[in-house]
Amino acid sequence: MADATQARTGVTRRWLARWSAMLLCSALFWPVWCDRGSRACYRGEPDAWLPLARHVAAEALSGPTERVFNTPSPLYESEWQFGTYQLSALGLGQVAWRWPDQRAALLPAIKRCLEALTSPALRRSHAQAWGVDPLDSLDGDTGQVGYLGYLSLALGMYRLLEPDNEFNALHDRLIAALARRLAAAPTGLIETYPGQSFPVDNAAAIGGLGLYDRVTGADHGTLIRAWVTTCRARYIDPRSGLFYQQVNARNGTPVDEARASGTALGLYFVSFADLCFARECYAALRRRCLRRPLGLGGMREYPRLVLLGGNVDSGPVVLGFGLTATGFGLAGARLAGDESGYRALYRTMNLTGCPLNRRGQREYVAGGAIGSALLLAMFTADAELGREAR
Amino acid sequence: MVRAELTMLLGLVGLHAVLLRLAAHGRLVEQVLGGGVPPLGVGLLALAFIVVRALLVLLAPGLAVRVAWFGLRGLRRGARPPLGDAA
Repeated sequence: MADATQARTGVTRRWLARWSAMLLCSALFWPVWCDRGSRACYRGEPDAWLPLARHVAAEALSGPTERVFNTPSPLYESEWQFGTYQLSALGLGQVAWRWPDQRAALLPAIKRCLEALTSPALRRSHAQAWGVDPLDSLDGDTGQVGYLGYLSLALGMYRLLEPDNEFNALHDRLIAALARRLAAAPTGLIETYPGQSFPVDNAAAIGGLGLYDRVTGADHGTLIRAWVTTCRARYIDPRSGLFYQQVNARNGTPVDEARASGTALGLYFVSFADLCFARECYAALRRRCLRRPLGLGGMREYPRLVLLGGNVDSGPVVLGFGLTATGFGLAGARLAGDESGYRALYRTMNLTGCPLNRRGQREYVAGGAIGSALLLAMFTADAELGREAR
Repeated sequence: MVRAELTMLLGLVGLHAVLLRLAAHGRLVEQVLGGGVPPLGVGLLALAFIVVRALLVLLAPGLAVRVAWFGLRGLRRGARPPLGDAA
């Protein structure tokens, strides 16, 4: 009897030792394996950027305007479709700006993204929410920053690379509308949907103004500085330093927590207008949310620990780490010159994103079209495209 | 012993490679990440890919080390002449 018990204990010990050794091998192997290419990507070497850019460009040129993401509502479906083309335009623009010899190959894809972004199909959900089409309402006072702010960045990027283009008139009108609405907003924020304000969407509008100033020589410096001051005082959680995800549209009080996904994306957008503020936000994000377990890097979605959860903004949240926040965090790390943070996040994206190299292209299978577009924009975020607020 | 582990390792790597290409072709994972209810076939394939990927991540390095370890030991034993010959 005693022998049988001893034998069972021995078997259990051997089994535990074997599995522990297996897991230890994984924990040692994957961070090294997934680190391949991270330094080259951080330094902006063409071999690291171009395969992903080629894939995103091919997707933009060949894909349908209305993609299927199987989200639970038509509104989210539309937001993901819109986000795919907007991030594709920004990512491809950053690559083309860094490598001028690639412009001829990438500009048609950026133009195709703008055509999709301004198509009736991608304006429909905003038109339904507001009762008026966002591009027909530019002379009015409706909000629509969730459409106009993001579009202004994509238009600005295209204009930076192609100064004389057919979207210039629309770009001028759109920027005038955003500047007027921002100046008139009592809370300093334009609404995304009726009664809903998101600081991150307004950060896109501010970034759009900064990029417009860069390409046209216009000056929205006063408006940008005022917005940054308001944002610091009212829309950043004083304890964590992160953007509140959503605030009350009437009085600007927070209605959602400060979160990493909104902060990481917002600081990327705002870097086009105020790089110092963007770096300040990243410093808070790094301090409160960036963790490096087992040689990988992850952004905690909430400053407090939330083990499981997530929504359409944050993506899945596992053990507190948000997939979307981790991806968006790459841009802040590169903008702030945090090479070790960037490479840690890169390793995680390589492990969880399931990269696939074929036919000279690289795609991230786990994220599909939106994931690849997002990672291209974040991998290639460039501090030289940012501006110091004047 | 080593044969079973080698088979498992090669099976995992091969199955992962096939499912990765299938997933890329059909945008399977993207449809699951969207949060809606995917068609049954798409959901099952995506689930299979996620499970195989997780197994690959967790087990493949350990399996490779064991295959290499036992393989080398087997080779060393095989290379050593039998005692009778040495005498």
